[in-house]
Amino acid sequence: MIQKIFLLNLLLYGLMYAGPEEQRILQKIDNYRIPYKQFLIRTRLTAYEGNKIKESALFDAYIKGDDKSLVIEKEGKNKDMKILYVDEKMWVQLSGSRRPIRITPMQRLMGQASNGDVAKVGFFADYSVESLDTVKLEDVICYKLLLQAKRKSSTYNKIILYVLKENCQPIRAEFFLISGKHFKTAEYAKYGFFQNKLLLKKMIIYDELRPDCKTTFEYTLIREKELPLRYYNKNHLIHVRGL
Amino acid sequence: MNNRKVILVFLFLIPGMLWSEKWRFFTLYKNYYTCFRESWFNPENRAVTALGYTSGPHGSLFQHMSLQTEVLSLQWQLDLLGSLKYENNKWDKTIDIKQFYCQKDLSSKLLLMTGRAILRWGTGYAFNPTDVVAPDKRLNDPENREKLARGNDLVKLEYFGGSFSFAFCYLTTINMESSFSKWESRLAFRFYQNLYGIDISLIGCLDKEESPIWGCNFSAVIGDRLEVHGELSAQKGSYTCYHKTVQQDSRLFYENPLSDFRRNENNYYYRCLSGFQYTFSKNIFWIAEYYHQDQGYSSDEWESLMDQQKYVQSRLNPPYEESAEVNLLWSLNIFSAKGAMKDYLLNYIQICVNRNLELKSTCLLNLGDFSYVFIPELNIQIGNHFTFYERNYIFQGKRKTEFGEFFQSFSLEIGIQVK
Repeated sequence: MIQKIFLLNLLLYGLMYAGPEEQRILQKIDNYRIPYKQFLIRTRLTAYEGNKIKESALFDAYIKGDDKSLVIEKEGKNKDMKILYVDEKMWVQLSGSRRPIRITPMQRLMGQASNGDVAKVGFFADYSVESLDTVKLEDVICYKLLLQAKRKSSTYNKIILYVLKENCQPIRAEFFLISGKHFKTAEYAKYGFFQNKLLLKKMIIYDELRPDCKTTFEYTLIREKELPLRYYNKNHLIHVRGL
Repeated sequence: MNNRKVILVFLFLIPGMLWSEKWRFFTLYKNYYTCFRESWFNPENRAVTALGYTSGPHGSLFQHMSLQTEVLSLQWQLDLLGSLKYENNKWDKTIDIKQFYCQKDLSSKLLLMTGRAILRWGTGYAFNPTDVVAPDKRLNDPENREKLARGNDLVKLEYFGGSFSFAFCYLTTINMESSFSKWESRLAFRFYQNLYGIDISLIGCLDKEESPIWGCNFSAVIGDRLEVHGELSAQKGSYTCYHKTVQQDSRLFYENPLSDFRRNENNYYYRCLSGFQYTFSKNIFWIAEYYHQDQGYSSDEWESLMDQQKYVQSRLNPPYEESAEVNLLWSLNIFSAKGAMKDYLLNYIQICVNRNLELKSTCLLNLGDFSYVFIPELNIQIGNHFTFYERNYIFQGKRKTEFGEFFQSFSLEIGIQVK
């Protein structure tokens, strides 16, 4: 279950980054992941151990602004599990349970669910740019941004992000815990069009602590979708139907 | 339930499954073996036999089914539980409606729910002093597997704001695990607000038969690893059933030994809970809770109850001595489901060894007499649909203690769940 939670977090991590030029770059980066103020993003998540598929699941995430999201597992081991994020707070409602459970940040870091935080990271809202350099990464000219979390409670204290200089498309990101440990690396592998918008389509997360483990996120559907505000209230989780 | 009713239920289910948008099955087969304790109050296990329990291995099969559908913008949910048990040389089959309710969005912020439903308003894991709408929990099974619980009949109206909600709930039946079902009217309400990251609920309950219950609960996360929660409730008078021998003018034995004779007292009785959940690295979780209830027996009362029963046993000739034993055992069974005494401590540790193997350990300690229930558990996931589990209940304590006198001393449960 915890692993799933992790993955879910990933869904939400987008791209929000921060100084006038740096801010503009961060916003451009965000536009590849956050196309609307409120939207639905459907994600196929596959976790690998070596070359073997360890776990596969399908999630629908309903995003509302910078701070709210509701994630529902549609297929997988914890089918019908719902996860609610409001700011830094997180609740989980397991299938069959009648009460949402409050989750600690550490629980989010365990298992595959930790990938969720990588996927979710809101760069613009949650991070400020410490430095901006132009570097060459695999013969491609990129911006290298060092991002620092604005809040102490952020799962990742520091992120090194590489984006194409010409259009600010993210290529790679390295995520560091508050202890300084390099925890995850994200490769932004594929972009595609969703309703005429060029958006991120596939992301691969590498686990730096377990080099043989990786998780892919494939975004199969991204469209504008508004849910009433009550869906983002933890007491409403047990009533959610038909999504 | 006779065969005709079972057939009718199945005839109803098949179209229900075809019609519903979503349906799920959950099957649980379990074997259990129980050892009963011989004590001063249960010599030769004769009182246990008189209560209809039998020692030795038993098997039972549970089938849970959940259907969801939407008709005329009403969202329906039906949860059924069928069970098949072989006990006392006969088959016992039952089908029970655990939940059957519908809900409708009256507006974008207002939701109406009516029918039989299980609601949970508490924040505690094993104890919920403020959960005035939930079926009672059994303390000796703190996880209180919800698929086996039966909902209450109710109507609920809930208003959802941004970070708050307000719920009114009217209940017509309260089902208690102690087997005391009450038919009554109860109006409960809850105001919930997330304030500075803390989930806070204020809860009230007006009951036709009882004085009002007022309470509040909270849950918050501190730092990366710690979640804290707490609950407090207050009620004038105690509506707990006590064994009548606690009273000064008690007789030696009673046909019905239980009475809520403290209901008309003017002083307030408090129940409170404080607990936390801590996340260690390597997938280890620890939950600890302290629970206090003014309604419980004091150590002196408990001791006097035990002494009196012992005296009764020594004075009476058969068959009356057996009645006295049965009275006590029956009481213990009821008390221990809800907590007989005042102070308890719960410790729960869960270790996820890997994706397929999970170890759990629960220990419920009675702080009055230091007797305890220890419940180790092992879960092994086999593929995506099967889970094998093994669980023990070990009741320990010296004579005259709550869990030391509990008629069950040990049980082993082995089962397989199919989803």
